[in-house]
Amino acid sequence: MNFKKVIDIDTPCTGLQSWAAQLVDLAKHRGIHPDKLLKGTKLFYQDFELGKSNVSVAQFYRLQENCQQLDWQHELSFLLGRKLLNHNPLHSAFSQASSLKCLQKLLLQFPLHGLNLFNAQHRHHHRRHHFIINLSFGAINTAVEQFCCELFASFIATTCKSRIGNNSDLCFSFPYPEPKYIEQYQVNLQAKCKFSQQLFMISISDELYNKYLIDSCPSLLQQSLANLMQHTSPATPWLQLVRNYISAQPQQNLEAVAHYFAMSPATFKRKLKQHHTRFIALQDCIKRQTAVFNIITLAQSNEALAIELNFNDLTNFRRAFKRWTGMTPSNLRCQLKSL
Amino acid sequence: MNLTFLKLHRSLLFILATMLICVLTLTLSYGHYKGHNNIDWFDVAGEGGITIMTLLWIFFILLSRPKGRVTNLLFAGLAIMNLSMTLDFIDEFVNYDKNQAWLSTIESIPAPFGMILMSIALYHWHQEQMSINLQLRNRERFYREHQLSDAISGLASADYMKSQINRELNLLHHNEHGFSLLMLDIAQFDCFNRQFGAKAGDKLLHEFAQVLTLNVRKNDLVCRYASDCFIVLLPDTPLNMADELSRSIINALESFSFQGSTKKTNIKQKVHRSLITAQHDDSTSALLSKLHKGLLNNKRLFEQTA
Repeated sequence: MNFKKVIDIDTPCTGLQSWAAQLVDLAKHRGIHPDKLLKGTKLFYQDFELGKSNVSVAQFYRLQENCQQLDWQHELSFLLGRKLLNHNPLHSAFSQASSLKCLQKLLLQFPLHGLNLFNAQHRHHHRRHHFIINLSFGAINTAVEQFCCELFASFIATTCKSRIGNNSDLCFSFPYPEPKYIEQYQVNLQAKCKFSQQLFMISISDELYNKYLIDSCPSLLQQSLANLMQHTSPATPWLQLVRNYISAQPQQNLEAVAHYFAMSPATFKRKLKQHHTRFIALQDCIKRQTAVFNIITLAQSNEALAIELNFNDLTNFRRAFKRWTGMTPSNLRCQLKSL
Repeated sequence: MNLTFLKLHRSLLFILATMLICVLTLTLSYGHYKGHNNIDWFDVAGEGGITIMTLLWIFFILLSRPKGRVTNLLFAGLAIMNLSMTLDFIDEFVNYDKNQAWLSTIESIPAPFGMILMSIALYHWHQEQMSINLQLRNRERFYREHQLSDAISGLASADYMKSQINRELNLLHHNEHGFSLLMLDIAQFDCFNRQFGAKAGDKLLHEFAQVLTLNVRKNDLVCRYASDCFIVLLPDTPLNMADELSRSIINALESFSFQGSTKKTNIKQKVHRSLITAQHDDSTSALLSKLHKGLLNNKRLFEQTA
């Protein structure tokens, strides 16, 4: 198979320069020295001013790790989340979109200037829309995963607040335990937040998702869309392609998937390692997300889940579930009831 | 490293450099090198270390303090002590003729004068600190940790507030009235940031913090919780009294008009509030969560009525 315009974690990515520069400036204003923040990223503050630097996802992730260490108030991810659309061609279309549904389609169709860092799986159940968010280039460690979740959650909360007016109907589920700095989540997101949920998910009601936004202007939206069409569509992250293929073909083994991506199993493994993951870890992550979502949202039984995930017997499914999440399916159900 | 204060002390640095050059010129011109074998290297390490450390103290004093009497006294005391130590240090390398033996005799004389000056300086520093403590009383109560203060507003951070709420909860049964918590939020702060920029937003937060600290009582503690949200801890205050206090604080904040630096801006901000009194079975996180929910409800009610 021939893949054109595929990028990986070390390839410079358009738009990340603007995010990195804003992040460094925000940190600088809060007393963090730019050189300390850029340590190990191979980036220089002067290059941002001259517009010379090309930032890859790996460099942006390193910057996030430094931020987590130096920003003891943990507010930078939330502050940057409010500014993600600065210098982004999507900005004007976003301010004219007629509904949240329209906004979501725009994000899906034009993941420009760094927004391809995230991808979402859309599910609909019981008059609510659920978006399971994944990092397209993978999460290299928990610090980066947490920073990215905060960044994207803040971006969504800010967008909803500016277009709808309030976030009361939004619900965020985070894969990690409640952090010490919960105040940042309360004040910046102003929405319901659940922690230790095993997946990063955003939920919103049908009513709000389809609500017509009175401040939208269809003709200006068309004009913005015409401008967006002129931009070359961004390259697809390689890891996202692999994830999509494994989700669609869960039975395929490593050799078959490597063959599909026109590389030897050894090269394929090496490339996965470059993204800080393994084939089994990817398979487990996809199955874990399906299992957890089906239990917490669809209230599916173990039997139905085992069949859906191609397990031959329930014991194997329970054992695998415990390996993925650290708890049995019944423990997860009990935890949900207690919340 | 911020060198702003150091630049203010050019004259003191000049005095120090002149003093050291004079001492070196005087001692090296009158003295004769002892010879490698006669030098006690343990003494050299010990006395050299002390000399360098006093120079380091002088550097940090000048780096951290503005001009003024206390700074001058601290500098004078340390510089005179350093003079004694430098003479003592050079003594390890050189011998003097009988005519110049006074140089080794007087080496210990400046040190006591330096110490007396340092003691006077420390007394004045204590006086100065008492006056600063009075100014900071609403920002730190009785614990000081610079890493627990917020860089934008200069107030205590949420972590410090949580530790103080925890303390008040532990002391709840000793107090007659318990304590109350007031949460304040600037309405439409996002719009303000979009309209005037993030820098003006940070300036507004800083100025709000100033107005807030001016309008609370002696024992109250103010902190920036997160973003545009502030908390005031009102110790030994029942709900009705806290309600009255919160109204006067909000009046002061809403009357405050923000002056932008570049544009002709003169803006007054609406402030939302939430107020609760602690109960015996409350926990810190539950109290803060209740307080924040109350604030969101009040904001929604206001938006609906508006």
